[in-house]
Amino acid sequence: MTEISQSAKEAYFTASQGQLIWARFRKQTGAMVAAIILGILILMGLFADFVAPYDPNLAGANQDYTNGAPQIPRFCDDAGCSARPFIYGVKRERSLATNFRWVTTVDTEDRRYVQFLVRGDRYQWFGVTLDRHLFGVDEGKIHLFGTDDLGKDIFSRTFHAIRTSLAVGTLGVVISFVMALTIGGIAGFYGGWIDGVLQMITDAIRTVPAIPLFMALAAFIPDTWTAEMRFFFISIILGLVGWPTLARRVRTHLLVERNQDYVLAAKLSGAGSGHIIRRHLLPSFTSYIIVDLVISFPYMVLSETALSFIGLGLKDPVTSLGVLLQNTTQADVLLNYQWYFIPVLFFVALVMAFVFVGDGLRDAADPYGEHGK
Amino acid sequence: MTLLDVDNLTIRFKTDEGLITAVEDVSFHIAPGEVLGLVGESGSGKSVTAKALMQLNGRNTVYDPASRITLHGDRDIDVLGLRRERDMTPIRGGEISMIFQEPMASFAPALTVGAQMVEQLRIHTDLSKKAARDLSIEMLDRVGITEPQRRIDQYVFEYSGGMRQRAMIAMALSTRPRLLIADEPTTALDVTIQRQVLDLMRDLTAEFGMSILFITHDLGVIAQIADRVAVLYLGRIMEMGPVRDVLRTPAHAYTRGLLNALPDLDNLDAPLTPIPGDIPSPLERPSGCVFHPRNPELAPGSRYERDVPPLTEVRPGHVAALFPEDAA
Amino acid sequence: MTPLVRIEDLTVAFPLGRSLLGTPPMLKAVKNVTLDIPKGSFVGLVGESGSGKTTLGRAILRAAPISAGRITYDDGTNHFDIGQMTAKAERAFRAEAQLIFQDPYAALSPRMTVRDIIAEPLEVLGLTHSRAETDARVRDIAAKCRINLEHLRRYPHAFSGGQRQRISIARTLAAGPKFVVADECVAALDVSIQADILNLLKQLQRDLDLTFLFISHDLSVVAHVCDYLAVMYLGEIVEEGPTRAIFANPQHDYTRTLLAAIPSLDPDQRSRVVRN
Repeated sequence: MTEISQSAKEAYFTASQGQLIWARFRKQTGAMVAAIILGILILMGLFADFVAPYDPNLAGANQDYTNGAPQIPRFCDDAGCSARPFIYGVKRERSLATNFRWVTTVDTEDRRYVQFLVRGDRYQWFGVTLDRHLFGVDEGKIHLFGTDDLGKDIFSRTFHAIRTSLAVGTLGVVISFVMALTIGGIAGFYGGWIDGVLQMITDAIRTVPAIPLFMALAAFIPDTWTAEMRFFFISIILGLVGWPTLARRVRTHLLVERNQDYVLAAKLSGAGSGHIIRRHLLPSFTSYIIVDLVISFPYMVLSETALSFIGLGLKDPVTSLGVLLQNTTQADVLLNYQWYFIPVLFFVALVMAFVFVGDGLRDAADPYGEHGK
Repeated sequence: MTLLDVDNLTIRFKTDEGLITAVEDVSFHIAPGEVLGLVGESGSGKSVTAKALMQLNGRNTVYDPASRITLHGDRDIDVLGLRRERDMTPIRGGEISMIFQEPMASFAPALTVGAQMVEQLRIHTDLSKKAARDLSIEMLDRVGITEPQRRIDQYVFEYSGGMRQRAMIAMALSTRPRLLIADEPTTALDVTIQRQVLDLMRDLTAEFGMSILFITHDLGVIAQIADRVAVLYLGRIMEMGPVRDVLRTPAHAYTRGLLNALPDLDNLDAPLTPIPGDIPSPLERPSGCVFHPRNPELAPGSRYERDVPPLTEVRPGHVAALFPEDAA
Repeated sequence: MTPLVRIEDLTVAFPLGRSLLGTPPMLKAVKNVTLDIPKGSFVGLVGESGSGKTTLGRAILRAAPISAGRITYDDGTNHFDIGQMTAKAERAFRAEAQLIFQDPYAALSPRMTVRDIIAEPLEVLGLTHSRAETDARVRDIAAKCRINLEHLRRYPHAFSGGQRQRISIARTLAAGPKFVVADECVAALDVSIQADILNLLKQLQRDLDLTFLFISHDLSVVAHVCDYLAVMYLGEIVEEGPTRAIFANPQHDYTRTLLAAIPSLDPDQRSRVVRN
């Protein structure tokens, strides 16, 4: 039998709801692993400019190495081992022997050493102009995930895509959250006919099928809009389509909570609506809201991917997973240039991480549900 | 020959905060036709004990390997040894039936009362649908529900509180169980209804020859219905014996404390004497005799703080958790 | 002397369901009830489910609508007509009259510390002007309710039912009310703790000069703490009088049935109250 220490007991007694939820969350290994992976991916997305060696667009393209295979750094080869990792240089030549087609050959004599914290292309990071990158090579370019048909580095594009998708997802989630909280909050708090009317509106919007709605709205975007305007518009659309589900959860929860004894106790102490909302009702569903937010994130990301993939979402020069996948439908790519799909692995990891963390949070916040205990 | 033997029952639960002991070393037996009362306050483990008899505790339950629950009959059944759900089916609702405090929670709201009673009968007996329905109407009548032919097709929300409890008793008894477990069946009822339901249960026990394990915190109810009583505190038995002996001459300080805390209606001027202190949280289980921190009769440094007292016989058939020197 | 709370011919009715045409059928939870609660008294309101006792208690605190009749509160300095109060008067009334809830688990917000829970009425009503003053008053009332002061920073989930009820009582009394409605406030507690809370209420009544309306379905509980009883059945008061008189000589059939239904602790006797 395990003995429970005095300090552990005291910690349990003085733990707020948030701390209790965090403690339960930490016990779930799956969710913790997912949270770490999620954290790493988000950090890499935030620091995409730094992590990626080159500009993801044409400015950083390598004309000498189009459709190039991934270059994996190694430590040893026939000529001996070295402490620093290196890759081989490539030469591109065209001659009669090759039927005047550009052929890229790997030159095993030419070692290019990988260096860290190199200076490279300039970039803007939250207003500051920097030029340090995490790694690079002393000569030429390194393409860990290969390049596409225009020579753009897929590694760089992957991380910029993660950042863009996270940004679109965040904006969409924030918009849907604000709308859901307002509408669901008013409906749940006041009840009565206000609730009835708002419920009808919510349900009406909910019944509209999402993908055709996206497509219809997105098809109306004029081509003359800049990439940034497109970006905001897509995010807003995603937010506007996503709020009804969350609003319904908020409203139901409020309808239940406002009849609780402790709310009545506050009213009988003379508390006004503002105080009750702030101190009792809002904190009561913060945990549910956070869980909902985390779980709706992947839907936003995947919706944006779907839109961009069919050409109705983001376009170059903005990079997102959907944009990255636009070029993958050719037979050429599927047969010969499989490295185009490497970003997919990252996105699968990102979405799965969100889902596992969301599930873990939900189990931690509601231990009396049917999952597990 | 006893009907049910519970030996060294120890039940723990796995929780976020560690392993919590709910029931510790509880042993008792129930004879056929006998009503055993299980009395305790919150945290006493009485509900957990009752649910263990049908393995109804949750998945985070840990039964100590030394615990044994034996149901005697044509064959002796080791209840805790049954691993598969379908082995438990003949027991749940068949050999042993259970009624609960909140009847609304035990009847499905979307099925008629009759549908549920018939379903229970069809699972446990060979009766045809018609025969099961006839028996159900007969049982509803027996428990005092008027117009049973009409009521059987109603939903449980159409019944009043007392009627629901009677319907639950009817459903529980229709399969002629040998043991009925009643978990606080009258606690949620008005006192006038409680009186009627207790009278009904007493009559039915005599008529059906079944035993009852009656769980409650109300000593008055125990006095009226039980033959023997076991007093539980924090998962251990403090005292057990015939109900007259235990209530009139309680041997353990906890039983005395419980009796003293009850308002005395013959002397309205007498002060109310609660048991000092509070029931400790499950995380802070006292050593030695679990009641010792709240026992006003104990001198500090007594043996009860360190050692667990055994169940010593105070009188024939009447035991208490005292060291032999104090049981005189 | 004017009673502290005077209830005159009160009726509280609730609509049963909704009706498109005309008014829906009404359920009269309280029917034409008249009752006086003198200052400093401990009045018991007894009845079973459906008797209307909880509704009556809530109506006094303006937590249930008054369909007909009058409730007035008069402690010498303040005079309130509960049915018609301005918002300002209501705020002042809230500082005078409070409610103790039945369920200690639902009555405390799980997300606030004990100190914050007790301090809430003070902060909402603006009765203190600094955090130090609030803290001092919280500690004062917590000590009177025998709450361990070290526990003030814990959250409700750390406490047992009896302790939570004490916190609930401390919160009720924090703003210094003179009139307290205790709605089944020991029903959810273990028997050994009930006595403790009842003793606490009697002591607080003496220390703080309070008037109680004690609502309960349990006659044996009211027997010891209340000096005056009113028995309710289906919305009406069927009998009222000093506690001892009612127990010794109940007049109404329902009161007799209620007393006879209390199970006796003596297995050879059916009812606890044996009358000649």
